[in-house]
Order: sequence, then structure tokens, then C-alpha cells
Amino acid sequence: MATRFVFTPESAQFPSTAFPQLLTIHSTERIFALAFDASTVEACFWRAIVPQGWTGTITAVVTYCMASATSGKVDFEVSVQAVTDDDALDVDTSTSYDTANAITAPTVPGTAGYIDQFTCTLTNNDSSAAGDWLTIKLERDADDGTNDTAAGDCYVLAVEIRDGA
Amino acid sequence: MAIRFDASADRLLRTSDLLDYNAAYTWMAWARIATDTNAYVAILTLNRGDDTAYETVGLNSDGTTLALQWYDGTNWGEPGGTNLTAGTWYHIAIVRTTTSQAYIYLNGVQDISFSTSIASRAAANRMEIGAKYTGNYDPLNGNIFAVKAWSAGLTIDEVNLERLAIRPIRTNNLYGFWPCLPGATERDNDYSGNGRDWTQGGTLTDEDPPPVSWGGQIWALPFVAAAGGDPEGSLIGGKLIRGGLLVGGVLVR
Repeated sequence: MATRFVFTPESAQFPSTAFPQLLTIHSTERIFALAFDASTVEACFWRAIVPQGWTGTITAVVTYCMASATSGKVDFEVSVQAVTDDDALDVDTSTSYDTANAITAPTVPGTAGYIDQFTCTLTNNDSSAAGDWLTIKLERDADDGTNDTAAGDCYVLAVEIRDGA
Repeated sequence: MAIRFDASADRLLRTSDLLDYNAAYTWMAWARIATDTNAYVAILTLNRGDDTAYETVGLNSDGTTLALQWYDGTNWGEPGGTNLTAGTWYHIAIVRTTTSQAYIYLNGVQDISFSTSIASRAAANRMEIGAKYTGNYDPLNGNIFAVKAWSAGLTIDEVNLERLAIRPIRTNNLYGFWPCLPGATERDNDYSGNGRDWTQGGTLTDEDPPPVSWGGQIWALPFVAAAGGDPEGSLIGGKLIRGGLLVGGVLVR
């Protein structure tokens, strides 16, 4: 597999409401992070063009750490919208995401601030193909009382998109 | 996070190395009224510590009308613009281009044009956000986020670019930029490298900001390595290139 994109907190885009806060962690290093709330469902986006040679299984690898939690699980889902040239979608009024892709909710690290990574296979990738205008949406399922049980903010540090090349 | 001002002493303050309000400058921020105080409010202000001379982007006596409040020591005025709604985020920018022309832009659209000369005005000794003067006049009950300033007058197109990102797009003449990220030691930091941090007054706190991106770039990796690192060649851009890879990453054929 090959890395095709690396999405950072600084390049995230936000909906009009219910979005993670962009902040810095570490008092001197000022590491940018997206703080996803533990009780409110929040989402953010990254947008790009699907590169040439896009092939195989698409996965998202999310690097995160917890603000304070040392137990429990965090649950996210990743949605894909891929708009092809001449598609009948009015992009300034509508969206057309494929079905959200779920993860196996990871148990958070036993020490707050330790990083962990989880993988989301983007089986539902809206039939993405080279040249498509691509939107990747990352959302914390903070209202899932079974799979999202870790308290406090989840700091997302990066999202890596891989394909099967 | 956005900074919350909710008491008369709450403010961000600088008292030296200030923007020159008698020359071209631009100062902008995202701002929100949390509570309509039904009184004058100072959002962004350059002044002399009292009402002997000032230039303030604020709200007029009704607590909601955006205004450019000014005084040059002799003449004064408070031309007003749009009536703002409490609870709504607005991007506000003041652009002074000459000693006789200044504009207030609201969400990237010209809202106030002010063309009275202030050429004889004494220099400011306070640059403040959220209230003004040593006596804590006209306090803001609301929020500020993503503050940026230049010692030049930006065009309306530049203002519109800048309002869509926390980081500055234009770096020429950058006086300072303050993302207002959360934290007691973070919210007053100048990220421009010019060292123009604010001094916090009162007890400032952090609340939800508007949905504005930092404005960073996505990393897209254009090359795909050949599976297994085939020493016979590498697949680059769909073509098989044969050669040797030097330590520095240069492919030599």
C-alpha cells in the first residue's frame, strides 16, 4: 500500500456548527490538534483531488491521543464524497457522501498523551477514481454510548490516506 | 477556542511598539456579541489612554450598531454601519489607507467609509481589544478570534482572503497575528515572529470559535514506490525507470 495524502489539523475545514476545536498541545512545541468532544458529535473535512494511479483498498489511518482519558474507547467514522467531472451534484448547495465507514473502536492508551493509531477501511468510498474532487469527513461518534466511552477530548494529530498501490 | 470578554477589566493590551493609527494600517478579527449591553462597546481600539484621541472599531450606544468611533483632539465622530446580531460571528476589519481615508469591512464587504482627515492627531499609546482606556470604558461582552494586523492598508480582495484563514495570507508588512488559541499562556501569543504578545487584563476565558480553518496545505504524495523496492527499477508516474538510487534520494540512470 502507498500513502497518498497526509491531512493535518492545520488543513482541516469545518462545517458551520459542531466541529472539533483547533488548538495546540504541548506548552513549548505548540503541536496542532483537533479536539473532538466526548459528548457532542463533531466533524471536520479535508478536500483534495484523487491522484492518478489511485487503486485498490483505500484506508484512513488516524493518529490521536487523549486529553485526559486513560480508559474506555473512542469511536469514529470516516465518510467519503467523490465528485466526478459532470456529476449531477450542485456542490454549493448539496452533498453526496457514501455510507459512513465504521471502525473497530480502539481502547485508548493507558496514559493520556500517548499516541495511538486506528485504521478505517474506506470500503464505501463513493466509487472514487483518479481526478475526482474528493472530500474526506472525519466524525467522532460521541453519542455512541457503547463504543465511545472514553472521557474528555480526543486530540486528532493527523490522518493518513493510503491506497492499495 | 475564542477569547471571551465578560467583565469591564477584561482586555488584551499593548502599550509600546504600536500600530500607527495616523498612517496606513489594517487590523481585523472575528468578533461576536454574546450579550447586548445596550451601550458603547470597544472591540479594536487605538487610543491615548483617555478620550483625547482615539480610533475605535466598536458598537455605538445601542450596543449593536457597528461604528468607527474617532477623535483627533478637536473633532470627533462615530459613523455607523450595520446593526449586528448578538450570538452571530462577524469578521470585522478596519483599513486605513491614508490620513484622510479609512474603511470598516464587515464580512468582507465595505460597511463604513470615513474620509475626514486626522492628520494632526497625537500618537496612540494603547492598542486594546475588548475595552478602552485605563478606566475600562466600553467593555465588550463577547468573543474575539483570529486577530491579524498589518502596517499597511489591505485591499478589499486581500481582506476577503484573510478572513477565511486564521494564519495570515499576506506576510508583507505583517505587524502581528494572534490566533487566540485556548490556554492562559496561549491566547495572547503573537505567532508572527515579531514578539508582539498581548498583555491580558481581567480574567479571560476560552469558548467555541467560528468555523475558520488555519489555512494549512494538504500533503499529497505524487509518487508511488515500486512494490518491494525493486532494485531493477521504480515505477514513477506510471513509467518504469531503471537506475540506481543514491543515498540522497536521487535516481541515477
